[in-house]
Amino acid sequence: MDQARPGPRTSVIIATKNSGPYIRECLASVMSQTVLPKEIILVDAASDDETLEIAAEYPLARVIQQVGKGFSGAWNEGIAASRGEFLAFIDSDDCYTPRKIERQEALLDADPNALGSIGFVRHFADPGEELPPSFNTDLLNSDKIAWMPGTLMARRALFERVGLWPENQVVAADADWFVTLRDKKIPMAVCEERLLNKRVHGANLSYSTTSNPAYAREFIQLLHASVKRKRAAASEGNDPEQKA
Amino acid sequence: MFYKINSVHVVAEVFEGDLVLVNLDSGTYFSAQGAGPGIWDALNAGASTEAIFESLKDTPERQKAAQVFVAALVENKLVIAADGAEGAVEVTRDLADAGLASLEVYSDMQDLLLLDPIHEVDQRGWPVAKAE
Repeated sequence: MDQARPGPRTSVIIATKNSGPYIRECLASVMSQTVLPKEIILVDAASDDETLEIAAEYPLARVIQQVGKGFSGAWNEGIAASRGEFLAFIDSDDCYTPRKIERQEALLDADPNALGSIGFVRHFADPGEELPPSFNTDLLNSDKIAWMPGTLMARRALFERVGLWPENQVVAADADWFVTLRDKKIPMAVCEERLLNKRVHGANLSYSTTSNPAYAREFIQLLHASVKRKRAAASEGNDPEQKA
Repeated sequence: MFYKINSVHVVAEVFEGDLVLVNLDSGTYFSAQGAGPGIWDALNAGASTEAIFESLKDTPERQKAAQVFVAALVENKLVIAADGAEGAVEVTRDLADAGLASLEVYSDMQDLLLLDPIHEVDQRGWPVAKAE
């Protein structure tokens, strides 16, 4: 007798705040997955546009009102409210590729030691979106490996090892979390295909490391923390650094 | 020689006495220690490499380390050649007491750093949605 297939296993978590212009496309990309999620949790920060009405059109979508503040806080509240075996995240203006959940559930099933999976991203801009001259157009033309929340699928244990999304940073929290994960050398399964289409527009370009001084400072600070972790590891006999 | 920060591609901050530099074009980051932060400050203030090395002439080992450090800044494109300032800029910081200059090089986060959508450090050309 065939073993029964497991039911939906993945919780998809989305932080929303007046996400009306893009949330339908985002949710549609989740609902058109070849393997559907167990639930979609929207942690909403008091949207007063059509975000919640659009979410109500999707039976798997469950809205919780954000209690705290910030993007990281919203994701962490989503983790606390979630019931899935695996956790996935997506920015409300981005889209999954159709096999994202299927591919990563299979990778994690095949590698029990991996605590999570990441994959590749392609950036895109809507017609009419004018990008700055200094924009790195290579991101539009090729898939890049992406240590970013939108390509992540995590076992719950991954957050026990790395911690929750840091809430003490304004904009570099996800980069901080991934740098910490990599410094800890936590085994991850890399999916060698594009899992995320990431929209580029004026609002999210303000989170560029280089063009936003506050972000640059946060980013350099997290790299400094990484340097200190590497020095500590080196003093224990594992020397990952080179010296000039 | 005079050098200044390669400001189109490099961001730098000091944390807890460590100077951390990021070359956003290569995705490599660096930590300068010992006399390194002082040499960085002196270069960017307009001091010549000759003046910096001269200030360390009584400690040949530290002078040699400073020369290697500046060469590494150039090699990693953290600094670019600059015009000399009018009149000499004195090296006021006592570099000899700061320990051997060193530059640690890290390339383990290149893929993460190179995903930044803008690779030039300036405020030009903010994206603007075209009018309908």
